Amino acid sequence: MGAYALKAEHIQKSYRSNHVLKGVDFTVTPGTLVGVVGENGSGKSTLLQILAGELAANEGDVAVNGSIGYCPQQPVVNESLTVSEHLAYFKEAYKMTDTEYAEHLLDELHFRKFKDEKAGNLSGGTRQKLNLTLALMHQPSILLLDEPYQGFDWETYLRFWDVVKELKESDRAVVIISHLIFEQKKFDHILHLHEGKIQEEKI
Amino acid sequence: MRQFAAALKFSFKEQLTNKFAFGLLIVFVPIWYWMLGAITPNDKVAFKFQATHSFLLANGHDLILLTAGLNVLTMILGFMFYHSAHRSLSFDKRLARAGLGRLGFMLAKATALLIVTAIVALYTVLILTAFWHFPNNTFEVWLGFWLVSLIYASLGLLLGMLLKSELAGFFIIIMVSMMDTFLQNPIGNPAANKDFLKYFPSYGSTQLGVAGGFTHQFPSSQLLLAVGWFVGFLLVGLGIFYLRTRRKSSIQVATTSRA
Repeated sequence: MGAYALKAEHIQKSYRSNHVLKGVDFTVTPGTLVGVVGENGSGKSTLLQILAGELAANEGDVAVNGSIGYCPQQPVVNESLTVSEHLAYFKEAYKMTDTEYAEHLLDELHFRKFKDEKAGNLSGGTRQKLNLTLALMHQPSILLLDEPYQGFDWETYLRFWDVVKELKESDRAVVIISHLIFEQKKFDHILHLHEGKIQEEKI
Repeated sequence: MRQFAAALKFSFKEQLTNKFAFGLLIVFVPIWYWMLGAITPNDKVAFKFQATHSFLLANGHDLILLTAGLNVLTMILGFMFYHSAHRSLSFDKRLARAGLGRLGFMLAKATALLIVTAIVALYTVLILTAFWHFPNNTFEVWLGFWLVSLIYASLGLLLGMLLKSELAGFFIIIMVSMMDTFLQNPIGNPAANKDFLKYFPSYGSTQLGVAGGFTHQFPSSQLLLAVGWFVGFLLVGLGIFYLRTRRKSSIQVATTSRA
């Protein structure tokens, strides 16, 4: 068995009689970028929440080799706290000794100027940058991103891909869920979620 | 310890940035005392005082100010803690999943609640003394005010963890507070001597406040009753917090170290 960053086996999830996931199996290896695509309502976010431990599956197992970073689709931030207070709070939660990498992300995603601004006063795009920073500031082994570039302007979109490249180069795995994936060449694998199963694997 | 310190600091900050609640305290509390004081004469009113199982003849003007203070605390602190608990639940879940220890997190939330309510209750008592001639024992009045604040802040926290609709929580707090504090007040409710009133959340605090305002007694069993309401609400609220912030799926995590 080769090295894996994340392994999902026979994941099933139903909401009453609606069988959203009917047995999803896939493996993500370190240093790869995997895209999960599917129509609206195909169960992409449900799958990601199960992988992140946010939601319980009815059946199946998830194994992770190392730490997880999860970036939810809707930014989960505290409106009363500033950007730097968010970093300080999550530094303690992740039991980190410094926020050096988070500081690097402030520059990389170009929102350092909002460091002392409360999250409640940030624009949608800047909140999304903070949301993303909180998910990856501890440099997790696998990063799970749910529609991560919603609200990003073109410049930030390009910078986002630079960050993903950095992560891959440091042997970390990234899973991106999106209803649309434009630049397929950037991905190592694209998994198509259709009728509750991974139907095809391209690239 | 560092996680606890961070959780305490930011739990505090969350409450202190609630400008609307502090605006209400600064503007509404004195106006509320003044208005009620202006319309209520100094006539004596009979109040059922449980420590001595007798009726007390209290100054009606001062008694209405005391119940006004209790009432305003139930609303403002109930709303403050409800609003913050409801609004930050997803964020708190995220922190817990990131590794913030839930027991320390709960302890920090409880500590912030104890300190914020103590300060707000002190402020409300100090403003009260500007309108009241002089309570017999200001500390005892403050203790009554603090306990009612603790009870309603904990109720707010509990509802914030439980309810999905933000508006539902506000209505529940308004209705519970109205029923509770209005029925304890012999001016609003001449039948305020009924036995069933002792099962209401603010009963112990009202008795304690009245004891401090008009007597030299210390109603310790009523104090315990108020503490019981507070501890009950707080434990249920924190229990729900503990359950709602747990990881929902059992992910097997291997411990291969990574740079």
